[in-house]
Amino acid sequence: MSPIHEAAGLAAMVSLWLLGITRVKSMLWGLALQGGALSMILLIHAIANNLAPEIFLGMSALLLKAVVIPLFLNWSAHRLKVDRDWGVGLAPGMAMLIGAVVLMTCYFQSARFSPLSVPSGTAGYSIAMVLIGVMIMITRRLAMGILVGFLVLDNGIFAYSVTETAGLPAVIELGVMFDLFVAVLLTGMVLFRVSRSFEHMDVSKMRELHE
Amino acid sequence: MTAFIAIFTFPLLVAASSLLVRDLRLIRSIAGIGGLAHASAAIWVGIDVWRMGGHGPGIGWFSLDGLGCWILAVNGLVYAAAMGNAALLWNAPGDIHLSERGVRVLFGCGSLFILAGNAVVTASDLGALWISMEATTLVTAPLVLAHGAKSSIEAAWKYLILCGVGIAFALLGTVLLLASSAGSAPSDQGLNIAWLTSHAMSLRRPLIDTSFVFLLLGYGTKAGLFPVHNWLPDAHSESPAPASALLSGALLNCAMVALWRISDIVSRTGAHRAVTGLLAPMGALSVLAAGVMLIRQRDLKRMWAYSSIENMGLMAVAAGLQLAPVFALHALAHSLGKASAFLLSGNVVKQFGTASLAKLGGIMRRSPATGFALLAAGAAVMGAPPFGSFASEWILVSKTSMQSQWAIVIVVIAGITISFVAVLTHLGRIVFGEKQPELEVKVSPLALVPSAVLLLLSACLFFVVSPAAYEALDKLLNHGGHR
Repeated sequence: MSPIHEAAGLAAMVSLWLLGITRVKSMLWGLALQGGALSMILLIHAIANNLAPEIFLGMSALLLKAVVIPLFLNWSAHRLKVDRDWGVGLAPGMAMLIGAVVLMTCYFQSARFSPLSVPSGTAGYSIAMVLIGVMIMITRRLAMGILVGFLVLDNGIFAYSVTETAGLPAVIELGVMFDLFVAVLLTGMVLFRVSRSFEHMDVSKMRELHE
Repeated sequence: MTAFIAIFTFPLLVAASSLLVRDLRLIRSIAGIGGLAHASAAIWVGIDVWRMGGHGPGIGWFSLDGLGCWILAVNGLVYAAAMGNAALLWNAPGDIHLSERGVRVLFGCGSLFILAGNAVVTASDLGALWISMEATTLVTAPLVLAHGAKSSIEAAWKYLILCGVGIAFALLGTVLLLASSAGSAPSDQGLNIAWLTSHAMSLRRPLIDTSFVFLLLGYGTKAGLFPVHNWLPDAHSESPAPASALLSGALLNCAMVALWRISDIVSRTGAHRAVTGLLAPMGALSVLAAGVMLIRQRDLKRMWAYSSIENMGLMAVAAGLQLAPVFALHALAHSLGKASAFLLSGNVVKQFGTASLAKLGGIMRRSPATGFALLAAGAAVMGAPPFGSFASEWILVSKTSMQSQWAIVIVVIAGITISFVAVLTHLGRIVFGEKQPELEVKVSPLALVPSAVLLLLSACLFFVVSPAAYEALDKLLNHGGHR
């Protein structure tokens, strides 16, 4: 098993863990770990092939996904006094169990999503991360938890891009990361407005626009 | 090339002025002039590309083709009208509860949006297209937030999260498309639209199908197609009227252009049935669902927003059946009608202090010009003669019938009929109904000018459409550029 395969597997397992926890700080640690593992895939590949633009891209991804975004969200969670997200609809344990089934199914169906003639399973891990990200978004009550789910989903796409394709052109990939960064900052700003105006962060209680 | 650069320069100047210039009156003037200059440049570029048979200038990942320049001109008209209306409507920043900062956000983010929108329609690479599309979400979110009310914050949250997930799915679809070209495409051409179109048969089929589903869900969310439309009525109704005009008249077209480009590639891979079997029915269902939802509307701007879902449905049907001229004609006709409808709603909100359909009434007696223009805008949006949308809807239904897509024809006609009756009933009530309390604020008759110009253009479109014009448009859209 190659380090790339191991890193992708670690990222997929982390997303499963994120599905089952309620403490926001732990979720952010998980997010940082996942971002770090995925950036390492890009860095390992770039260093092995001595590709300067990809090394820069990998360093940028590491900085953004493993450091800047988790730190910013941690600062926001602290300021917004968000500690735990108990979820809605599905208990964390049950969600984790369903997530495990999703992960296994995707892993064994890797060939469906992979362009490689001998799929290594990383395509399955990536698609599982996308689906688990959606599951996190559905099962969280607080805006912060939903945002974490969105970032897991985005990490799944990043994982697919770095493991299954030759990669997006470096400039395009940087543009994608910049967009993600601005999106997180903007969503963070909206979170503060939500907290100030609604005096809570519970998305299920936002009913101003219900017809 | 100069005009191509001008298209990106004018909105940038307006955005910079809204940030740097202190005097709001000066910003309003710059925005009004900038909007007109941008529209002129876009039309100039369009005529040039037309003359060159669909080939246009390009820079890096951006170049012009027939469809790109057509939608660029549509964006230009909507942006000019929105900026003109905003400049004429607001005498004081406190009008209709928009703070000075809100006015700056409107001019600044509105201009940045048109910049991103132009990038979407001119993108010749699907990666660049995705980045530009995401940028449109990011710069329009502050527009939804501009009023600062609780409902605006909820709408902005929904907009960011739902469109964020949608756009993320579109990115996954894009990456899957890139994977499908692995091995056959040169390293920097894997997402190039022209390369993908000309080498469509060499793409891997199972991945193409999966990719199309994700792209359809992603860009379909951004276009407000049913059933992934939830963010649209909230975002469009909570934004200030000129921003709503931009969102409905320009942003939705940009998402539809993305869907058109994808459908064009996918249908050439031999997966034509995936496009006809998914996109066209999704469009037809959007028309019907929007019609049903229009019946129970209680807010003027929400009513227009649901009507946008209906019209995007019609464009999706055209895209699904690969009817390029109908797609382009309806994009123009809808944008002209809908932008004027939203701008007029802004005048109504300023004049009468509410957008509630229950509270508005007797507009024709109190402000005949506004009442008449509202009725005309309703007719232009719902596809009644003598407006361009009548021609585009008529051609769409006849071309769909010619392809023997009877289920789609029936659903579309049912949807159009229900929408027409619903909008006519609501408009009839507020324009001719019981007179409500006296005018709150006087609005300058000049504020009607941008909407009137758009409606006049829509009426001209009705008279211009002919078999010869249809053929010429078909030639422009189906040759050169990204093909």
